[in-house]
Amino acid sequence: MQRGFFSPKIVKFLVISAICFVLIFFNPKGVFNPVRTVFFEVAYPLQKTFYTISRTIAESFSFLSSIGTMRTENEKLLRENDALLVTVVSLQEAKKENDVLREQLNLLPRDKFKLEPSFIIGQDPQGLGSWITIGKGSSSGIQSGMPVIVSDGILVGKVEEVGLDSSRVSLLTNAVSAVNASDLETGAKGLVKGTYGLGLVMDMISQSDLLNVGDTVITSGLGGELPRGLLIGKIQEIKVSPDKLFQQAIVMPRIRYQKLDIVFVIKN
Amino acid sequence: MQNFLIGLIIFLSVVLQASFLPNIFPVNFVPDITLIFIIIWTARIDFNSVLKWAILGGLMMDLASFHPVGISIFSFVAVAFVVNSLSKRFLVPHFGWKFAVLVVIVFLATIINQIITGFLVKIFAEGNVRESVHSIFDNRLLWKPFYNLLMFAIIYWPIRRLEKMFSSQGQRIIIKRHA
Repeated sequence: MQRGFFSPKIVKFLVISAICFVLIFFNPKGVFNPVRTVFFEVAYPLQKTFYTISRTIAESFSFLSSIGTMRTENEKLLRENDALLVTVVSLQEAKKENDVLREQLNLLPRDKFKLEPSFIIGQDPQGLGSWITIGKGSSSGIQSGMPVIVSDGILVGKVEEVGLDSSRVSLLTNAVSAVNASDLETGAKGLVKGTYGLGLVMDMISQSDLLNVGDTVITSGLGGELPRGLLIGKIQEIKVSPDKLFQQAIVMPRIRYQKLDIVFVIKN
Repeated sequence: MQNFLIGLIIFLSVVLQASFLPNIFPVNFVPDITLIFIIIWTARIDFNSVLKWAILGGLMMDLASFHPVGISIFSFVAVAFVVNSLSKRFLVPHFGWKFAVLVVIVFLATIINQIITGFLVKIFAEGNVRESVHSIFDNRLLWKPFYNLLMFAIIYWPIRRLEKMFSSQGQRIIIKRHA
């Protein structure tokens, strides 16, 4: 008996592939949102439990691996403690100065944010490190575009998709993330972009602007999406963009986004 | 019962991959546990039987990853297709060789999945065609298979035990029907 060119297995594969491409091409993400909501409603308790357990395990391993270095670290900490006692005194003065500076720079005082605390319940399963899932959604008043910070005003990212009891937060390190930022010390303005979960680059900085390694990068508040004065990180390296038109700065984030437990969504 | 249990395993593996493994493994190398289940089942069962599980696993992965639905489904089905073709030709009954062949298959299937999802996600979810090719061939492509092999070694024997349990249950049902 003569066999056809395509076996039933190949035909099935081709048909399913075609359906998948039709789905990818013609269905915007929103179409599957109800299905996604149901999925996360069912998965939420498990996600929360798994995330908490895995954080405990990770911390235990990190504790065990750090035992060897604890003695030297303890000695170092004692020395640091002495130095810090001296610093505390000067910080009292710095605090006063900081209050004046915040007022001059028109920064929003941190305690004026209306914050919604939330546990992180998931991360990008494809390992691209570009987003996290938090355990608060529209039922808690979360909306798309709201900034997400950690308690001391360090920017983590923005809420991108909102479900009933969970939301997806696009991290600053996401390749499609772009945040208007400025250099706190020199006032140079630019755009902080993610680099595929690997770090941050402050781009589009005018050649005439002054930048220094070690300067603090904060949100500039331009565009009105994010409040001014949220901390992003410190400048680690300065270079010229490939087209030689702008300066670029490699920004070292203040936190490790993948090691967070709790974040705060700014609701106002 | 068997279908329900496999569906539950796939669901749990997706949740594990999204909420448990990212804290245990380095962020760029989170093992694709759902993919490994699909690979093991495809190598041991036929393509037609595993197709529905590949589709279900892909759908759940797309939902959990916030990707446009269809990307992981296509990737999982493509992997199942390739794995089935390879295992038909190369899988032998000898236990040691069988495991070695499976290791190679998992390695290749991981690379295929990584290329397909990486490429499609960059194009359709992030709209970045220029960077898509560049970002796929980074160090993830090299290291991810090793982490997947580690996960494969962990879950291979539990899966075999589960299969034995299912097959013995099936035999009991057949015996009862004959009686």
